[in-house]
Amino acid sequence: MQSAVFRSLLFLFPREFRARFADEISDYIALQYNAAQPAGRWATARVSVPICADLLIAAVKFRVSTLSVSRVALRTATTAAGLGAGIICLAIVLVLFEATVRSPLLAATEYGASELDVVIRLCALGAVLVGLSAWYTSLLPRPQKRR
Amino acid sequence: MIPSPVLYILVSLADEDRHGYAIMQDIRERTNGRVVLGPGGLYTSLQRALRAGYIRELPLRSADQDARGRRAYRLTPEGRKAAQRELARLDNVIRMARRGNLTPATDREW
Repeated sequence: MQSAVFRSLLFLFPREFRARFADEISDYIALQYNAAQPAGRWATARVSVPICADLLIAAVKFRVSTLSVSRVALRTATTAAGLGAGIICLAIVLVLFEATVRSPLLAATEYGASELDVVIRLCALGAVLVGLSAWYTSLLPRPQKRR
Repeated sequence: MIPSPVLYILVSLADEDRHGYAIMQDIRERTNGRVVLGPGGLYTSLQRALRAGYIRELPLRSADQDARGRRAYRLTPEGRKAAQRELARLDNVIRMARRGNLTPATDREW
């Protein structure tokens, strides 16, 4: 009965934690419980109740700490991805705008520049913008990896 | 700052490799029963210490099989440094407390 209660309390912990420590925790509880059992029910209860409370409190604390870490990681990752994607989109828009609507570079052909030269300049502009966005994204803090 | 249960674990592992239950017993003995880590607190703290790289798990050997598959843990050099830093910080706090006449009575010192 008690072992079923302890086992069910272990399910409050994350799966990864259970996979790693459930056997050891069960072993720990069994040692405590078996040591108290010969002294009677009262002694057993004096061991069981603190263990249950400890498991419950530890599980809640652990869940909360894990939750806050993953939230920070998620927020950082989303911010980095959003800003990086935004800068890349801006770069693409600028390049397209340059190539189609305003086209001062294309207008250069009127002043004697070859079309190949214009294409090379556009590619260089695009590369600079993509490089800048990649550099900016690399400056952002990375989400912490869970070991 | 290192949480107290993690610091107790690091201190317990300073002189010898121990498995979870032995760490709990050692801490209880060293503190004369004043600090008792329950299974939840002990293993979540072990997990924290493992993640922080303060301790590492020793591979199971055949000699350990009689220990019911329990894993032993060893203090890493990083863990030793972190514990020393934290203890130095606590030592400074104690010195400040002494200057302010806040030192605990000798029989209650752990």
